[in-house]
Amino acid sequence: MYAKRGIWPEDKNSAAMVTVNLDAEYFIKIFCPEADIDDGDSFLMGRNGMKHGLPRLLDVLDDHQIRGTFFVPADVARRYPQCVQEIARRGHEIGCHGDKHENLAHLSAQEQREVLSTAKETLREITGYDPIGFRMPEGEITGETLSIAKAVGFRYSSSLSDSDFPYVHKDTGLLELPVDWALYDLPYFAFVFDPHVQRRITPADDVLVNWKKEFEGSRRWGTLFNLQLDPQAIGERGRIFVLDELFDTMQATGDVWFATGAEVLAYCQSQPAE
Amino acid sequence: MSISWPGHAKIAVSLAFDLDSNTIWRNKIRDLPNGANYLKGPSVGEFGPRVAADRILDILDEFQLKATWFVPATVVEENPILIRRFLDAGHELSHHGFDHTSDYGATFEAQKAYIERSQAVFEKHTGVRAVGCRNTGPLLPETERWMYTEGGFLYHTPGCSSDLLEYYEVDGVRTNAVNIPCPDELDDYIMSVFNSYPQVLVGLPAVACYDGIYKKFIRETEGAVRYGQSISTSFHPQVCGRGGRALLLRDYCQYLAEHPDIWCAPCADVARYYKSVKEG
Repeated sequence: MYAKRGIWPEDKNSAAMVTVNLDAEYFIKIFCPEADIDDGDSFLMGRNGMKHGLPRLLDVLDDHQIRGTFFVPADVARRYPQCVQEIARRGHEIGCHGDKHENLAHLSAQEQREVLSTAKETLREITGYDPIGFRMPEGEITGETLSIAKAVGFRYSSSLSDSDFPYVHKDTGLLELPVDWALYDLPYFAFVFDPHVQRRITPADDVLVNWKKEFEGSRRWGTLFNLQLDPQAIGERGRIFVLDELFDTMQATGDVWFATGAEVLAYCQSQPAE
Repeated sequence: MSISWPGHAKIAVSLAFDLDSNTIWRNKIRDLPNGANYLKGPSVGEFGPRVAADRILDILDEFQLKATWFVPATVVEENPILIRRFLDAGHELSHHGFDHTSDYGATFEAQKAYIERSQAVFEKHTGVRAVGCRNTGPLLPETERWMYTEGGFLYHTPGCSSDLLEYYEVDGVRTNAVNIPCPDELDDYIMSVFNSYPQVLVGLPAVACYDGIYKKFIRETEGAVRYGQSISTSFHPQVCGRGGRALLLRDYCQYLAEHPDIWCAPCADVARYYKSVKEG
């Protein structure tokens, strides 16, 4: 046997993070980087997701007693401070997802430092504590970005896709909790007429098939199952059942350790280095 | 015309893995602003050698299957231990470009030098030269005539090759090499790769439903058995080695291993067997 296995608390075979990229109207930047976030259908969808999708998502997390990790662009916290405070009040971790969902690889080192410092300060003002998790806004980052994130005070990143186990990024010493596009709801569900994001919406049942299969794989290989959600995608009333069924399935196995980013960080730091 | 394969199988299926690593990502981002320093896109590819390859080796071992690994020369250079592991486990290593760029050069001499340069890397790190080619860019007819006659290449299996396993022809003239079909229905990359910047695939079609992906594998293989037409896969560890999709791969390997009409063997073995039957 060559393949690596993860080792998790309580002898569980799988570790799961339920994370939310709270992009609101900034989500359009993933698909159309030049789009005006305050205009058109995408703006309305972002607003709608915060108003209706988010409460549904928070209730499902409560129902399953799962604490999530919400990566928030700081400007979304400025625009929706009460939403972010409510998320924090309900016991979820708040992490940073840039300030205005910047493509950080396109900024100078000084600009990146300003963006991440400002974002961190804003989140602290709104939640009352310093965020320690950083998830890159979808776009690109460089090694410089991770160095700056560490210098600014973030203690883990959850951005890259070169593993499905936590690992320490060799140049910066920052812990990486990797992600996989197949475990992110928005790429399956995003549809906007204008600006053009005219892709077929995947049937929610198909997404459930993929996520259940990924969970099965996570148990088999002991990986970190790092789910990424956006309330406007999965929080839609005809899609929210996916989370109920997925979490029911996962919890019925008794074989998964649900954790926030901060908890995975603490666990990894308690383990002997490889 | 169909031939009888070892074990009275109706067709040969070559499990083939394109271990592209970050090459395809580096090529896509090279001209974007600050592209040489990007981490995210390349990280998607690096999952292949870093995690997926070992997982796939275990699955192949479980069903005692031997596969062909198409690996760009730069990926061989960067992963000598892994490549040694492939060869020690009895798998085949084959040509997949130098760094997966499509530019093999404008002239026969340039293209020949490019291929020899890739072969030299293989020889240096593994002691073996590739005998097969899944080229990553177009080749001139002169280059192909050389490769598939005196150049030492036994088979040709890029995407969009002919539907049939038969002697490969260049401009209507038969070479000494075998064409091994590589259908899109057995390419997992086009069904499940995704990245937002740069857009991969362009237009950002979503990752397909895994049930549908698996059914495609089976339907295509059933079709191949029905018509007696041998095939190879174009599986990409960076997508098929991720937890859930590795389970699909495992199911498919079991299906191949247990199918009475299928001889599952590396491309080189298939090409040699075909030639031995045809040439007596």
